[in-house]
Amino acid sequence: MLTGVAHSSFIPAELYAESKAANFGFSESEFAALLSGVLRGQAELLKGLRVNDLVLARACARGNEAAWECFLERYRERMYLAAAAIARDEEKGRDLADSLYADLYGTRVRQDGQRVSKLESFQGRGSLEGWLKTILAQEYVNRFRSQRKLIPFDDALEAPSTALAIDNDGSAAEQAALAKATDAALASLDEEEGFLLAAYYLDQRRLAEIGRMLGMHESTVSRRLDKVTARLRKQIVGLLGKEGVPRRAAEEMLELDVRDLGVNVREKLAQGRRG
Amino acid sequence: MEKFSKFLGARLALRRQGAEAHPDADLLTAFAERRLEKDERATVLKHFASCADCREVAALVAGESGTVETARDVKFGWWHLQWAAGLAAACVVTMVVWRSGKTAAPAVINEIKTASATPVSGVIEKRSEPVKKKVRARTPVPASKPLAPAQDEIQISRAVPLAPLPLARSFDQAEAAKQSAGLATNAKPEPSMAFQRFNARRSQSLWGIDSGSGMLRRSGDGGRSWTPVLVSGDTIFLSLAVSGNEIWAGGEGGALFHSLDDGLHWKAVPVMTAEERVRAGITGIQAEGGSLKVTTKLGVWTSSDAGVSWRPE
Repeated sequence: MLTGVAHSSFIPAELYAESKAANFGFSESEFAALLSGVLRGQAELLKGLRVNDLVLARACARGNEAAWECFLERYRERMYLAAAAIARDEEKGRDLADSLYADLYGTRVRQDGQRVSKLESFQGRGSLEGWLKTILAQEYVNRFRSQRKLIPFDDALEAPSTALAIDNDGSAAEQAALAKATDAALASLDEEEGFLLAAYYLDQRRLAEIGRMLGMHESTVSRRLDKVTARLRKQIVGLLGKEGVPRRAAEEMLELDVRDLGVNVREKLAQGRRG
Repeated sequence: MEKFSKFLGARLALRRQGAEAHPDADLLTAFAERRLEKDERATVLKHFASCADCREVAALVAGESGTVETARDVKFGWWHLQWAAGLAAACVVTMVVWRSGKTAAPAVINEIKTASATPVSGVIEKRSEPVKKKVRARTPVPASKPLAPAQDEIQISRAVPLAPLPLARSFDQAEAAKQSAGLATNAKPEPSMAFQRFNARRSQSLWGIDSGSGMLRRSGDGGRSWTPVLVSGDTIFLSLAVSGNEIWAGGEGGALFHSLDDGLHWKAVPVMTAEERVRAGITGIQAEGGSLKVTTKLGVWTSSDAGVSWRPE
């Protein structure tokens, strides 16, 4: 029992002795309570583990035939369906699932003769089915990484300087101030806000997609995006003001409407992807 | 605005520089299944913000699983409260109409319906407008992307013979190599792989046995790449017979497996009589209709009912 760590009988006597807890007035039960407190986090983690899935995965990794039969019966069909959905193509999905099955089974053998099974890395934090879908998705992304049209990193690095070069309206100093203010405003985002902006503006994901990833309704995502972009704009105008850019000039630099901002960012990023 | 867009987009992209090690599959799964504690979730989201690959993985998993919104969003989202407010307003209107009497009812109803409907629908439109606008403007994620064969897969010449081979036959590596050499001008026999193509009309799959690991392998692209197919745990396969989508695969220990759907599902078929079970490796299979003949080192066994019953030849 996981909560058993609180009971002194679960604390090895040698551990109590080794700690010299008695020298400092700790009884065995107090020592047990101390350790219990330290281990509480781990105990909560243990309670949340999908132990059935964990045992099945590890048994498969050890080459247990009954476990493999159970695994194949339970997951073969689901894996093909999941892979087809991820690859958006039945044949490609089948290849994806088959290659993953081979990794799960382990086609490589260690020096000690043990197969190297990917299932050994399953930790049970989530369901085995969810984990299989995740590694399918990872394999899909890894396999076709070179085919994807991401904004090239070098382009991203050059974008600000390019903007400086092509700008005829404002001074270089104003542009630099805008870059600095934009960076500072982006740095103030919390984790979820940063993710929202990246998913929406960089990846061009739909609100519903982002909502599914975060477990929230798309209208909630929409409101949060509006709030974040509005706050960013306000922050940037404020920061530009501190740099000596008049508010009116700063507003003109941003050209204001948050929704227009969104559209333009999308267009810009889409151009970057096509390029 | 265009300038600001450039800056924002570029600066967001620049944030990728700080990407740390990717969260492992366990953590990503726990994230997708809402099992992470607040701190861990924040760590994962922070990584997501700077890692396009992990965002894509998360999106694929979420899209595949069709994760729905959390109960909290459904129950307590104020967007839904607006509907409740609208409903309440409609009730008030109904009460007013009911109290206003029969003669005045038609005019009042029209007037109040308009008055009540406007704010309610107005509020909803206002709130849903960004959603509609953004959804319309959103470019769908590309449906499919060009694929490249995995680098570590066994590569076999594309010029696999297209002439249909006998639908059901046993073969071995030497025979397959002979076929390859004889029927394809630029095909190099794969030293560790026996292969052949069956029934191109019904199935595009090529099937073979990896002589190194004894695993079945399948190619869906005319032999350019071969993917291992897991049929059953430890079986080392020695023989194959394919007819369209029907496949028989025999291996060591008398293992015999049957698939009717081009290898998507497999069923173990024991080769046995009432007296004994065949334990010798099955090195050859001939299948035609329900008739089966399997060859082992210790003899030949036949079945006339698709493997339900067997007798030694």
